[in-house]
Amino acid sequence: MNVRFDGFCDEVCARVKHATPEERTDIARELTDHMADHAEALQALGRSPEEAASAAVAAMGDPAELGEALNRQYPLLWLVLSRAAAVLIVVLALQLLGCLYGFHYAAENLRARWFPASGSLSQQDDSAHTPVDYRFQGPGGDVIYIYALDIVDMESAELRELRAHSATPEGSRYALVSYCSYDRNPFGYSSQLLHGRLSLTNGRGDSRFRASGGGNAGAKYESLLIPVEDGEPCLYLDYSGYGFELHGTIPLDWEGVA
Amino acid sequence: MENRQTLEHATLLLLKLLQSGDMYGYQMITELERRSDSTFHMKEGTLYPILKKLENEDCVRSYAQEADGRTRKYYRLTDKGLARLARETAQWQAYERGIDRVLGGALAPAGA
Repeated sequence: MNVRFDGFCDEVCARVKHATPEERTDIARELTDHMADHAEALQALGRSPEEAASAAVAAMGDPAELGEALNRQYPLLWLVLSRAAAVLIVVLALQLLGCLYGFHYAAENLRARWFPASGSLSQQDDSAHTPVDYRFQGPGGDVIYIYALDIVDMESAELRELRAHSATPEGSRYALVSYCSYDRNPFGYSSQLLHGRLSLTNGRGDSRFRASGGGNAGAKYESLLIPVEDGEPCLYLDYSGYGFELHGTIPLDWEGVA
Repeated sequence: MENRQTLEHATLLLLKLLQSGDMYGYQMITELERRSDSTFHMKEGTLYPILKKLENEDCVRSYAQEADGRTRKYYRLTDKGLARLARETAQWQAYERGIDRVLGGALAPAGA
């Protein structure tokens, strides 16, 4: 590329302040092509390359005047709009990312209400497998969904291992309860505090013993081990906090239990 | 006022050139020089603000096309540009007749 042409284009483009960088590049390319064409024609008439380039630049006129004249043809409003559009695109892209993140939680919320067994605990041995459906309205739009309940013998291999790891109390039988919580609004977040204040007990007031837990802001899952005696009719669910009281029962099905 | 007239004339001439076909900038300069038998001389750079103005007014449209191993920016006359050419040609002819009358038909061709 010819240094004279570049210098001329730089002077012109420095005056075209209202153009975007891409438009300035286009201007420089077009002016350079013009001068190159002119210089080639002069060389064909016998001028030296240096003379031809100088004459081609001189024929273009004053670069400052040309730059000012071009600048008047690029409305400032257009530049402002193009910059604003660029900012808007970035903001929308960030919003879209945020929405995708929100959709991820919404998907977890919907899965919890319809297919909780495929949720975060489904692949773990220490979650219950027999489907049940007991739902309780919790505080702040949260729903507590008991979705699986097994009565298990402590002699099972999984529970022996579990007891070794989590100081599970002695007892012949346990109710293994799997439940989840989600917000009524699919885009709402499941409460972080709900599971901590929730109480699941047997008829004698024995507390729960956590088997496993997991989930995210869309839904939270937990499995609990609660000691039960043969024929015990139900478990008791209680919640108290933030001016909200919840009391419910979860029937135990002993049919088929050896 | 004189500068403005010059600019208007250049616009008319460029529109007329583009009526005969799409052209790029340097091609317009050489064609103008050829057709006017070197009567018109303009600083070549002044062509581009005029072309940009015509493009902003949708009288011409530009596009890139490869020619002689180089990607050139060609200009094409639009329908709006064609209408403007007709309007400005009529204005120029009226102006020319007015001048001619003032000069007492001195510029009229012999035998007219």
